[in-house]
Amino acid sequence: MKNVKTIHIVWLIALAYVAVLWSTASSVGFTRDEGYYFKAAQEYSGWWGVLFSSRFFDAFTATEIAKHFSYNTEHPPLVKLCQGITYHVFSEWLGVTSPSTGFRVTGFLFGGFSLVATYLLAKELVDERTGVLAALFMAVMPRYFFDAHLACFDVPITAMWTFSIYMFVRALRAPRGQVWRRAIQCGVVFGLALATKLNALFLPFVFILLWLIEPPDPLAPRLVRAPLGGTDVRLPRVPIVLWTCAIIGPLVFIATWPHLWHDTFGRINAYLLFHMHHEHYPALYLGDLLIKPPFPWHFPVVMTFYTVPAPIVLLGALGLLRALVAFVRRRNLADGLLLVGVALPVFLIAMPDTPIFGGVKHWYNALPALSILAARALWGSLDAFDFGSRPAIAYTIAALTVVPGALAIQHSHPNGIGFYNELAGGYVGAARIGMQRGFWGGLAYPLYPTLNERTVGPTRVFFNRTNYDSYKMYRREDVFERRFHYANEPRGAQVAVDFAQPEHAEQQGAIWSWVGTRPVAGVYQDNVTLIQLYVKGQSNAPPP
Amino acid sequence: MRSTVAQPAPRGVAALGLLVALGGGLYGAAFWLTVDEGPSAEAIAEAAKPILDGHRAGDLILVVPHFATRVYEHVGHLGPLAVKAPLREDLDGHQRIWVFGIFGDGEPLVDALTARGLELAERFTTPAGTTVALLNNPGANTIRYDFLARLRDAKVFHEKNGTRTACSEWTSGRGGAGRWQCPYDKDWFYVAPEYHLMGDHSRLCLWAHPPGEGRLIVEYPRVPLAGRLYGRAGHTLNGSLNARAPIDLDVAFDGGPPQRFVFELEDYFEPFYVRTATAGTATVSFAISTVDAGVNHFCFTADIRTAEELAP
Repeated sequence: MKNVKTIHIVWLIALAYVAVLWSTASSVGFTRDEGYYFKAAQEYSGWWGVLFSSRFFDAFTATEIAKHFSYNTEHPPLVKLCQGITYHVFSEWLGVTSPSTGFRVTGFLFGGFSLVATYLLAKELVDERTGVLAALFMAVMPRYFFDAHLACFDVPITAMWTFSIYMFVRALRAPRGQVWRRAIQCGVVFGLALATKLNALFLPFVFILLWLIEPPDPLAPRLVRAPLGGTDVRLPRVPIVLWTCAIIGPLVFIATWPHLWHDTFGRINAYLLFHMHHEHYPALYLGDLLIKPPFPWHFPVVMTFYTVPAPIVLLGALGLLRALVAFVRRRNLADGLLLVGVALPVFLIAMPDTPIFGGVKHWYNALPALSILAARALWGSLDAFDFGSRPAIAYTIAALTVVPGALAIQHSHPNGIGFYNELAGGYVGAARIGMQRGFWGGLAYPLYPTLNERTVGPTRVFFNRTNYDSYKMYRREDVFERRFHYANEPRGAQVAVDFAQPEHAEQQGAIWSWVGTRPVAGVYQDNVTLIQLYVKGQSNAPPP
Repeated sequence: MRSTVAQPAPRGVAALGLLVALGGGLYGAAFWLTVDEGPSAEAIAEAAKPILDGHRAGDLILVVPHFATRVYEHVGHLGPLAVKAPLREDLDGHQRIWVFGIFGDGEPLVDALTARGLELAERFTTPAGTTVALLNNPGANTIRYDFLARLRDAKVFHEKNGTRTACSEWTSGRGGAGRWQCPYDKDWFYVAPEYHLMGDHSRLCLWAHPPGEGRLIVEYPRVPLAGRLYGRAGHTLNGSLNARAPIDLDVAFDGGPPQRFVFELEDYFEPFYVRTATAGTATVSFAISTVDAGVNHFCFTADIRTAEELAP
């Protein structure tokens, strides 16, 4: 395949991915964090209005910045700024989407871009066909597909993480005439990654490791003759791209975040401290409710094994082993990078002192490397049996490895946040072995439009894990009528939503006590209970 | 030093790769094309009808598997139990037991119950993929006195340093149920019937949070005795995960020496029982205490029943 053709294919795949995300987004409920980011994006976007107005200089004052950027300072701004733009363009100006979809379009675009970034990295490290297959693998991961719908940061940082590494490798390998240009490009991209999510702070570890694996100049200190006589010790030369990342990266990070333009170091410190003392997200794992550290080290490993489609995770495991063997035999950048690309994000979560992050999304940035390893393992196997001369068979087998993920997406949508693969036995198998079924409050969405028919008059609803900002967006989009009010507890509520999440299940007892014990409706995936809805006056009586 | 690109694999590894690709692809595709989604909502509604029509007060409804509770939409008001270990339930407290199962889990449970001495009364014809059966329990006990239902008759005290402070305010609690309120720490220091998550299921039980010092005493006068006092008690799931000390439950009759039951943090709805006289009445007291009351959420049920033998 010619390069121009494969990149076109990948852009086409990415475009199709964005289109599918866009067309299926309306059935995905608002997850807990999205409510916060809708609000933040809208507030941030107000700043553009000041910047592009006669009050241009006011936009840089501490007061104006505080007015627009004081909310949600625990996450950097790039994605929220983009969400504000896509919201205004697609919802406010063009009127082609709902407000929530307007915010989410940013996520769709980053989702598509993550496929392209995976392809580019694979092409740089392996070859084009591996890149195409790896991009397809990324596209058919049900949990990733679910998260790519959201106005959140995890898919964007996966794209930016991967693209940053790609840019770094290119810069490290740059021919003489392009060293500076590529180094500056990489510094900018790294800065944008820093402005996307905290994970990017760990990229320098990857960069330095890559430099040590494949240094452009010898690493060992050397004795050289000094210009004025005598002997000097020449230290290894640090590549320019590391300097540009160290200098341009933070500058871009600060430049994109007006909140940091005043009290810069104090606010960066506060941002970092927040994450060092992040709250724990409990998770049900193999029958145990994990609520405080130390988490089992194998948590991210087992969760990956059970949530990435079987052909991809198994081929990925094989590819990982092969890369390890190859790297031990002969140190090389491709194997080293792919190894660390999978291991580092997983390792960070597996560390016993890491605040507990229950969702697999927190190590999504390991998936591109895993996909590349899986794709490389498959093509390597096909080549060994000379399927290159029978491309139809080779492509059929490759396509077969993509099919389970595609079918799983079709089956699990819009409940992909609780997806478990065929190795776990799907939703039913995972429930049997005691795995978390859902979180973040979005799964209840299918029940909300039905509230209008279930009740009359002003009604207080205990939305439980669906937070207030998500409720406000539902109201804004007329998912339910204006007569529904947000209740902070089951007491006094006429309607209550119960999430099958044991970490919050004390609410079920309160709901049963105050509202009744018979749910009137629910959200089920393969008959596994995810959500149940209770209505006062109906839930303590037989069904009609 | 430019890195390697594609990796042609050794034949053995390549064969493994192809096996994984073909096996994983075929298995995965077959799995998602034929995945068992269980019965439809309509089938479950239809299957629930025999229970709705035939249920009597005191019947127990066991739902399996524990994660498939759609049938609660039809029988939730009858107090069904969808728990991981249904055989650990208080089977002897019920004359009749219903089994509702999907995913093929119903039949093994019916078999296990009959092996425990229950008699299959009827296996209902229900839509495919569902199992509904009714079993009689010839060895069941007769409940003579339910402490939870008779809470209004009880006296509640906080005993500390030899003095007793009465929790004598009878107020409206959760869902309108009454509760005995202590005069301080009103958010949590009371006794009331409430639903709490005890292990893997919410149960109606008597909330009785131990005090920081001393004992919380729930005292029932003139309780008719019938041979056994049987109960279940333990930490709520929240307490089990966050509390730091076990809870002591002392059960005493007419102020006599108490029988002490210790509930460790991992005990969430453990049975306890005491032999009693088979006739007459007594003042029965439950005293709850701990060395560390922080997040020590405790709930219990108890009754007086006639029984010659009790399940372990």
